[in-house]
Amino acid sequence: MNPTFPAIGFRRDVGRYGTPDLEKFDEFLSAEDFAICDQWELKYGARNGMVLVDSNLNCWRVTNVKRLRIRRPLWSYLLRLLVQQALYWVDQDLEPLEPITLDQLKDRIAASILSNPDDWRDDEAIAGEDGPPQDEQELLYAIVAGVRAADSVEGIVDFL
Amino acid sequence: MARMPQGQPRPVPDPEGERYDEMLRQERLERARAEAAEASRPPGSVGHPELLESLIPVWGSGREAVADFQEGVYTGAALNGALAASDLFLASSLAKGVAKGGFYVVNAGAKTSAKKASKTTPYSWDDKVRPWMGKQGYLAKGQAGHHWAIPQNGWGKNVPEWLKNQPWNIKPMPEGPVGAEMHGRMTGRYKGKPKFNALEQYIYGTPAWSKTATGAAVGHPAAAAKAESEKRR
Repeated sequence: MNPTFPAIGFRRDVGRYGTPDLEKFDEFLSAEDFAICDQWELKYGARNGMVLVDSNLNCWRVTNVKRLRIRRPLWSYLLRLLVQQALYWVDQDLEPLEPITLDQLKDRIAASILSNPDDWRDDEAIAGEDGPPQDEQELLYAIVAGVRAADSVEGIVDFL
Repeated sequence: MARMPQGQPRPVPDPEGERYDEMLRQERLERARAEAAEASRPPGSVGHPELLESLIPVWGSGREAVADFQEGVYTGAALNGALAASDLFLASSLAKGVAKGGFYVVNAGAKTSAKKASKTTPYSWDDKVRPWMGKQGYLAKGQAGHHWAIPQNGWGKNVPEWLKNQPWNIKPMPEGPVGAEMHGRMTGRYKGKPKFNALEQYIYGTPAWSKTATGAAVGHPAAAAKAESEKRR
């Protein structure tokens, strides 16, 4: 059985400026999306141990990531290499886990959003650049409420 | 057989003669000037750089500073030293920016659902560039990013996002509520506090590298012009 897409992948907050205790998530619209890694993800092993929740709420853990080849065209690869954002095709080994419910998925997403406000904050809205200043926490709660209102994984991805 | 007249000079037309004499005169003048400059240089001084040399970052102002110092012109030495230091700061800022990637490039192959595509763009600040800047270390946790040169709103709405949502246009604000307040006061009143005036906006709202670059852009030509006028005296 293979994962169905869209899917959501939960990963550790890796990287030079990451906080290992925190959990972040990435969205994958298609199998192709999931099969591509940028050089930052490869360097810091962002995909290693990632828990993928697919559109049918089946779960997998990424146990191994193998870099295959560069993502063409070559000019785009070279440009991206220059700014340290080169893309590679990868082969990933997936280990099946127990499925989860939609509510469990929403809880996990909500916890990640609230513990990583920097990835979700709207600086201009908080500063009141285009209207009255808004409270950062209120904005985060609004995002979480949108997630909770979704009726499927696809709905969550569309909202986020 | 024709014979040349002996002992009797005769005029020979020389069209290049006057130009040649002028060239010799100019060369002598140039040499005399160089010798005078060399003679006027105090013993032990490395000498001031030429106009173009003085415009070379670090080197030009550095040599000018050393020459000023050796000649006892301490104010000039301090100013030129500061100019050289600012060049070094600019170079280090540039190097740090490049080390972190420097420029966000969208993943053109990445799929976006139709619904999401209607709400977001490839270079969207909140969705794409801001999280990337945090990942790369341009913005620390809890730091707001201020679009200092091209604003997000107002006239900046007409500027393409790939240009304005980039590290060069983002000034990190201090962490926490102070940063939010500072960011808010750049463009208007914030929770009862007045909008920053132009000077405050410049001080709090522009990156250090931009201030340094402004100083260098003014300082280098000014120092070169000063050096050149002193040389003519």
